[in-house]
Amino acid sequence: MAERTIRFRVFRYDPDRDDEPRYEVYEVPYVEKMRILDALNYIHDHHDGTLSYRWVCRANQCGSCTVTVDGKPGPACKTEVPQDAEEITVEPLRVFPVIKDLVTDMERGYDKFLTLRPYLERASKPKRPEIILPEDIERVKEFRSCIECWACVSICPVVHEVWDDYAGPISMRKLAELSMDKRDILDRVSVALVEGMYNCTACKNCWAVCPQEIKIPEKAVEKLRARAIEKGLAPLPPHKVAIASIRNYWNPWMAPRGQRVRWAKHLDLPTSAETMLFAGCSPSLLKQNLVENVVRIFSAMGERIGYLGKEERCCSSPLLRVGEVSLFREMALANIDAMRKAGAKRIVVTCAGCYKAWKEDYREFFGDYGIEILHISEVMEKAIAEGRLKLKRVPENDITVTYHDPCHLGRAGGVYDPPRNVLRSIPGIRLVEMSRNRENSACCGSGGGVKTARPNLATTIGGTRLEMVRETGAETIISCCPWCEQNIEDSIKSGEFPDWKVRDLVDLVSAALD
Amino acid sequence: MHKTIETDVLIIGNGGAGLRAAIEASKANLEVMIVGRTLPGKAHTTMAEGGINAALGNRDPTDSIDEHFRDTVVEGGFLNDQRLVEILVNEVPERVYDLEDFGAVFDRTLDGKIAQRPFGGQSHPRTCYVGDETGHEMIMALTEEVRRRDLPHMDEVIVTRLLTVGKRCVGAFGIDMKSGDYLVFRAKATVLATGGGGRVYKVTSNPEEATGDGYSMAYEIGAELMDMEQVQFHPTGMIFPESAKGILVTEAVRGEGGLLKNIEGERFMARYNPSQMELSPRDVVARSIYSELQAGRGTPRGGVYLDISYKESDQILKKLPRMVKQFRNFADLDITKEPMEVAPTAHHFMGGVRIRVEDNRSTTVEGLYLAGEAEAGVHGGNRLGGNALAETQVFGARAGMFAAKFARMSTKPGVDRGQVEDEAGRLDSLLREGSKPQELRERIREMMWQYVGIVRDREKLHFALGEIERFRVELSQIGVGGGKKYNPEWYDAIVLPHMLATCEAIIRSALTREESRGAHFRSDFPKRDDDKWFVNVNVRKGSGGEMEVFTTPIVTTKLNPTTRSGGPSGRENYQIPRLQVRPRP
Repeated sequence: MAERTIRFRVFRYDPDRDDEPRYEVYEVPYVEKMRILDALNYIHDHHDGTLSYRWVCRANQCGSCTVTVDGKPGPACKTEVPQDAEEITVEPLRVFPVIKDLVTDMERGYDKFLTLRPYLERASKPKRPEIILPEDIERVKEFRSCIECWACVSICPVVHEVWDDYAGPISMRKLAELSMDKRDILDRVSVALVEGMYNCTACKNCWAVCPQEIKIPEKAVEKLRARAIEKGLAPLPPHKVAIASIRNYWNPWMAPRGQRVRWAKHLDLPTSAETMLFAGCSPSLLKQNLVENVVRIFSAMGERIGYLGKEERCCSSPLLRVGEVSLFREMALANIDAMRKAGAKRIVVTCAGCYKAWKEDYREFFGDYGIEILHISEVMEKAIAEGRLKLKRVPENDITVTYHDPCHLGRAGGVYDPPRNVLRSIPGIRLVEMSRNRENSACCGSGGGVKTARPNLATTIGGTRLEMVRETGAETIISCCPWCEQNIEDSIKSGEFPDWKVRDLVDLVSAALD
Repeated sequence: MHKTIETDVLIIGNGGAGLRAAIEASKANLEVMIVGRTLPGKAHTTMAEGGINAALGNRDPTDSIDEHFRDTVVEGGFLNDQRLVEILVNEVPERVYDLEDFGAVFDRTLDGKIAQRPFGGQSHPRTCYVGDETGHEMIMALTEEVRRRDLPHMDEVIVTRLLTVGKRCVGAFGIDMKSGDYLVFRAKATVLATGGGGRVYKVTSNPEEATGDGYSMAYEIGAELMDMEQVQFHPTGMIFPESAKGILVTEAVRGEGGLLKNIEGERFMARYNPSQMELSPRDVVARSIYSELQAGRGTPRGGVYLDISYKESDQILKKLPRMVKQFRNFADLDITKEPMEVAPTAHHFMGGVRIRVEDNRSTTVEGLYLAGEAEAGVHGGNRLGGNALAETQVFGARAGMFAAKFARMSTKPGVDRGQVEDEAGRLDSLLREGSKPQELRERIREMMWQYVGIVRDREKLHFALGEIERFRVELSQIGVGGGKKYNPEWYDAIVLPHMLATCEAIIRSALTREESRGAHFRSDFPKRDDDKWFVNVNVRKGSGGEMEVFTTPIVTTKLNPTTRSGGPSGRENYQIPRLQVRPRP
């Protein structure tokens, strides 16, 4: 049997000798379960021994060999070569300058990191033996498993734009660890605040590339923010407005509670049903069409859907993101309670923020509450597959679209295929992918309270995402998150971009209903 | 051209021993310089998994430092220098607490003390641990202390030779990998903490840079190497997939109850050592697995089963998180549900540079201090799991302290320009047309695995020695492409002579020791022979440049074998006198 080979396009560049970087292509025989590092070692042994790359342990324990593989950073020794791969591109870590080929200069990262005093500072030497209760170390242990591979920093959309204003995920992880370490005496929370913890968009890219699977946004950044609020140092003023609005109006948009249900007045939806709609604040108040279209789609499928009406409160994802934990608990529990009373067996949401709150955050805080959470795209995908939802070509449908994965639907919920499958079943729609998609999708910039408090940062990050749209040639951007859609629209306006349309998947489907 | 860096105490190696030495040396208000082959925190220590032995008695109050001493010497085949063992067991509790001062977070007992687990060959559960990431936690804590003290360090420097004036080590020559610049380190005292040489074997748990450079560089300047025949094969390395072959499967799996079974499902350790079973010392388990494989009772992939899946899965996740991830990532295998497949892998060199007990200095080279795996004498013929991390801390601190003491009392020496020019010339000359070093490197590793592995005999060793001579001839044909900046092929060529010197020391020592003791097993001399071989085997560079072998008496302080014959592991033939339990200092 002829052995199968894979083409590796490897970044080659010596700034001292070459005007420009170039890519060399090497053929490497495929071996079962091989890693990128095996390929690099093969290239070193059989093609070109001068290729510069780092590696030490080959067991995912030291974090030396981190490179960017097809746009995604990670330790080369951990990154598996897909069985069906034909060509793989290997590049150095982003944001760090190249020394040679795949070896980058880590100095800027370490310099920044070291200014944070990333070590335990005690009041005095402890008595021996020191008594430390197991529960006191439980919270810091996960953070201490970090192997300093720098993949998180390399992928972070905020670091990419404004590294000077954000110490990056690796640092937030360390500051969170030390803030939770009872032995430490320094004020780590204030340092985190100064180092830009409110610039994190909670996009979870850092977690998605972390070889140790550390949930930096939720377990580090949001915990630091919560501590800052406890200490009276946070949130930022614009967040305060949103929090006060949620407390009083149950939505972040300063709209009286009654306005929330206006869209549904003429629809006469039942207030209890096995399948309940959680409409969400932004759809209910800012994009009423969207949520009305959800109901239209349900009618088209011949399915009954209930709606809590005035009982529905903000999912409170925005509260949790900025660190307002106590109000989050109150609101979330009220929502769960209302849904239980309504007899919900499953809840359908349309906003990615609501989706993450229900699917991930509520469970993290309150355990399994026994209700299934579905995104509307999952419902539609199933109905289309079963022939219950038929879509037709509409005149405007001869378009090329690209799909932007909302971070809180994709990385948080693993919902990647349903929106794409739905798009593909609309006649006349051609779907093209951006270079970064699915679990490696880039953030639009609006999450984590950034859109509210740092609107310019949000559209700057959005602009970077739009450059990936430009590469595709698509004329319409589809998403499933009102926050993403708003920020992408704002980013288009604030940059030098064509007049792209931004549409929600639901609206597109609704227009194509038979 | 080169850059000169002056310091009082030069530390070569940024692993557990090197960092500990640097911390201790810096306490003397001296300048230190840590030179590491890798980025900070990436040295091999971070791969250590199971734990660090200290007789704290937290889990078993009947444990004591004397019990720790006894286990270390008995399982070391009585080859240890018992004075060093005494230092190890006496000082390690305080060194563990040092790590906590630095910020390490060991797993705890319910009442908040450091938790301890059982480990192979030990009479009591005394291995302090952090899940199965103990080495990582230690290197983190040490790195944090180094950062707290703001100690100078140069990362990604490959040291290629030590510099001498007369019989004194005065620093080292190296390459700044990032720029390709040559570096001359001038130091009053040098601590060699370069780790081991597992990479001379084809199948190894060791990382890229463990090519035995430290042994070879010390040997070249006149240091004596002791016990080099004693190479520990860790019984449990991964065998599948190919790219993970040799990666360590921690002894903690067995410590937490993992069972070894052959293809027939039999717990085969009952055949070899029914009293200790899976928790027999490493040499015994490795040889037992080897025997099972030889007898055709291995798995089709050539290993045996290691099964922990009968335990509660959340306990496995908590106690062995790295193993769970490692097998999931590399082999698509869930160890909470299925058995692992394992086989021996070259792991640790018990031998190394022979040191003076009183100050951790090389017996023959002034100004050269040793720490960690680079030194010899602590572990004898077989290292207990958990004693290597202990060694890095105890002897790292000692090396740092004594190096500082020496540096304080001495003037800064000059360097021999001839040596510097020679070395620069040698390195330059490798950048030429020639045969590639990669291929020779792999042949060396294959040869060592085939002929100088777990089971040896005179014929194999003779052949191996001949191979080394042939490889040496080929060395002169080596040439590499590219420039000096971050050129891995060049580094391959640079370390080849170090690999060959290390291999030769192993082979000559192994040929000399015509008995089986500790990890050294000779099928032509399968018994331990205390009448003839109650000695340490050493090598040194002879006046004509040839490798000279000589033996020295073993130093005992408290424990003597009472009968003078034994089987391959031989332990059952020794009566171990009960030791007096001394109060802890």
